[in-house]
Amino acid sequence: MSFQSLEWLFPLVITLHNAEEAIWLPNWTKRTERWPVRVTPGAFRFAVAVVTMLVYALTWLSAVTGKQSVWTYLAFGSMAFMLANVLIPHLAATIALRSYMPGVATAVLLNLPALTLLMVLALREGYVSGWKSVAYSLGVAGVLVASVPALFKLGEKLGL
Amino acid sequence: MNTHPYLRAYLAGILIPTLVLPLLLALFIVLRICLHTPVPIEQALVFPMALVPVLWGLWNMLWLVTHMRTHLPIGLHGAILPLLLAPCGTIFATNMGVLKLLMWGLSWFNVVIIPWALIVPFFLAALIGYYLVWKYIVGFVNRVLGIA
Repeated sequence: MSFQSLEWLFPLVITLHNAEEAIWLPNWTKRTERWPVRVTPGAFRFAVAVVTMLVYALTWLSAVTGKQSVWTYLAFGSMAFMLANVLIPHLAATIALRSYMPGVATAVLLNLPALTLLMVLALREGYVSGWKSVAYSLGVAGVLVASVPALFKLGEKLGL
Repeated sequence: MNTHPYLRAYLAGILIPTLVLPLLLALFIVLRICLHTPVPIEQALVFPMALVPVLWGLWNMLWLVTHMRTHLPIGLHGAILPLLLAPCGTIFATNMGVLKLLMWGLSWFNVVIIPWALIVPFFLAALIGYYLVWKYIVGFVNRVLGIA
């Protein structure tokens, strides 16, 4: 089992995870008063679809460019972000609000093992290395955290 | 027809792939046994023959579970399925040594290289094909079986 042969697990688990969120999260946010973010179901699903497409594009570019390419670092950064996403907000919100946050099942059962495996393989096989991987992870996390509210607004402007 | 809606959804979902797969088998027999093509295409056939019908059935069950909540048309729901099948197939094929992803295209069996410029429109055509099949055929079967 190598990183190259398993890399497409990344878009696969993210698609399933995002599908769980797209189906059940909008209604959950309406029901859960203590959840701070309010977004229309259409805008949320638009943002989720864009992020999913981005993951496919990054995986493809990473797969064809190989070790130590910018795209592989960006894909690795996205994996790190999605791995952190298992804890924050999914598990943290589920525990704090005592309400199952949609996405927890796929995050824990799929994202956590698959992304951990992929990141370990990427580091061990030299696809990414050193502080550069940490820097890309933080950079990608920053960009994604900033872009998700922008995608929500764009989705609402599009009338979704 | 009010009982077992998920079983009916599964059966409606698997109808199309189970009709198409014998055609693939016929193609395999012609290429591999009649024409003696020196490429082990059976390795590439295992995935679609074993998993695709099951995934179609499960995907239709998922539509039945979720469409009251998402209001997603069945055609769009079906058009999402290739996004799951493509990475599944890629993982399977790369691990079987059937497929290699190269900078300029996909290498099949180290014999045929298909450039990305051809694969992208082919994939988009597959998405449209899935949309149409799900909208008009799976949707029709769902209505016949009383689950739409």
